[in-house]
Amino acid sequence: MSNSWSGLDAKQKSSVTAAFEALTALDTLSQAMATEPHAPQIAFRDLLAWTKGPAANLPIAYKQALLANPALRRDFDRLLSRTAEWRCERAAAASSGLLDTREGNGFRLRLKPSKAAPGQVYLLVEFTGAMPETPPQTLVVNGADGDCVRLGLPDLHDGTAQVLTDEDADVVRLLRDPKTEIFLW
Amino acid sequence: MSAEHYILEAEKSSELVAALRLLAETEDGGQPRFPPEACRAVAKAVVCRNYASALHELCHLVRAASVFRGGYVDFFWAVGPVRSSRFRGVFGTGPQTPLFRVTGDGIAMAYRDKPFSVSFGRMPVLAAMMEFLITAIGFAPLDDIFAPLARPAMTAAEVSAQANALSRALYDWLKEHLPPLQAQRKLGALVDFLKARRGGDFDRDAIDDQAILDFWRDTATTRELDDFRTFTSVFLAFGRLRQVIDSADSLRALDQAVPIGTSREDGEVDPHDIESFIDAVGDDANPLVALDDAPASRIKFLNAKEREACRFLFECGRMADLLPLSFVRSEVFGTAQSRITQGLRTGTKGELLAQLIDGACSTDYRAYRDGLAELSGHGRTVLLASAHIMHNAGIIKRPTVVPLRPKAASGPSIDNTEADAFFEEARRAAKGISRQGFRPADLDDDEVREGYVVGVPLVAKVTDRIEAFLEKLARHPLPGGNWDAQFGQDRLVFTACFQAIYGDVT
Repeated sequence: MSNSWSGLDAKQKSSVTAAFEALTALDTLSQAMATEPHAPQIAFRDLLAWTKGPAANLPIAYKQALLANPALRRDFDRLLSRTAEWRCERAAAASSGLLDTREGNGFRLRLKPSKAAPGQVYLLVEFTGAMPETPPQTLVVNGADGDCVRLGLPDLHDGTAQVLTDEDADVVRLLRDPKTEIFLW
Repeated sequence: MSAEHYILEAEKSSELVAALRLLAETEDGGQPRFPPEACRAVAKAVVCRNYASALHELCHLVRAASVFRGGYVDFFWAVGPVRSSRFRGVFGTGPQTPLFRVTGDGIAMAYRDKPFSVSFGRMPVLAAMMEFLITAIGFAPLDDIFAPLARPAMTAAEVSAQANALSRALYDWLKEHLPPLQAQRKLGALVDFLKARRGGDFDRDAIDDQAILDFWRDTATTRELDDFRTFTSVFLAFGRLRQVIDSADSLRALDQAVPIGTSREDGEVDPHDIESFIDAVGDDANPLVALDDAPASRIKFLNAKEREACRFLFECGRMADLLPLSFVRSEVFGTAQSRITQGLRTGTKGELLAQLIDGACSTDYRAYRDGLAELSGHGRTVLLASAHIMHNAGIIKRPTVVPLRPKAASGPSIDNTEADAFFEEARRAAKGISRQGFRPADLDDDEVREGYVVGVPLVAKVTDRIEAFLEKLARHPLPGGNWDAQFGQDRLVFTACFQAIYGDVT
């Protein structure tokens, strides 16, 4: 037998209304997902994949997304903090010039010009406390403006990892910038 | 103002849509990362605001995940395509810990105040919920809630406190992003219209094709109700109203249940009851969704265009049978309206918009039906080809191919001559298909073989459903006399309405 509207009492109408609301909301979402144009965006999952993948600079589209989306930037910063075993925070506000040495928790990072190869510089990661059981394999330098580089680190020798790179490499530029943060894992 | 207003309303929910879409479209190793039913479960829980127990379970799972290397972040990341079996494997080979023990069907968390279990079967939904939350709320605020769950000694009550914080965070986010549906007002508009039409009272039979069209013509062009700007939204709203009136008896039963945490005096309804009701009135599982999931997804039974051609039919389920003319109007003119609104979103106006309104309708009712018929024909070909492939691969023996044949041609028994003819037909069908999963080398993969076993019955369901609906359309009495004449009449009505709604922007 068909239910008539006036045959429903107030409580039943409440239930009908709630069920109607939920069903139509699901319909609205389904229709929107099916018909609205899809603009793929950089999501947290992409940033997570970057931290897990092979060492590479942050792609330009990712940098743009981090610049445009403060919430994504906040999430990325948190992800780096969570992933890193060692960290060097931004230098004190008084540090305005370019730096050649950065002091982190349990490590020091130095930039030393190569005498043998002009235009090149040694990047030295020196552990100042206890030697890590699992040495870091990744160095990330994260700038405030969405600039971020990631470098693979070689094995430690006498507590130091050493990388030779160009004087004008992005990683050198960012390491010298006191506003950047450094992460090792 | 109407067109711009419409766009603003639509965009209120865009972040929610984007988060759910990301969930559905994220892939891992070429297959959906989350099972479609897990995505649907998350959407339902969010829309019904019935997420508290899922978030509670999630917090316990996050605590369990904290014992793995990299904590919960790596745990959810590393599991790969999210399936129960994966979680079973991860926990089965995971570290020994006093935090939980692995049982036959899940993990049993150890707390000094109260034990708690999470089943492997629930873990895909919880992982999908985790992904949704990260997209919606953001990782940093979530991490503030999840990080304390890694503490060595915790009580179940302390985990519950974190789950409550998570519920509040989602509640706050949904306040901004789940569009205010104003269900009372929306439902009230439909009820008032039907009462006025029927003189006081009405039942489900009052909801017919003419009522839906009349309501849309009136509402979309003259009233400030953005909920009903599109014909499809009106069709779906009336269809849902008819469904809930039909099911009012089961809602009566729900009414006896004691709601938890809701204000009964204020007429609020337990969200859990509503989700149960939706499950009860919902149609059978959508075979298109099931085809998206592994192992069936390893075989391209239907391509994107073919799926899109019948998507709405399967989303609407029984509503399409109850209101076939409105359904077809929605498929043809609703799609046209969608093109107009997309044009508006991208800044189309003036003469271009006028042209879009005039030419928005790219198909007619005959072409729509022809498209469905072509699709059902393709479905039959795919079934025949599958029969050949499965038979050759030893997946099926001859007698079991009978149900794969078109209903009309299948009889109670099959003799050898008929079987030979059938397999010859199947062989020819297979020769004409070179899609993923249909190539001989594809059968070397066990998952593809399994995909045929799971997928063929789903393709048969899709094809049967389309054929049944086409029969329904052929028999359906139309005010216009036949489908061609009906389209001619409807085109005038819809074009005039589109001009009234969007014409001010031109």
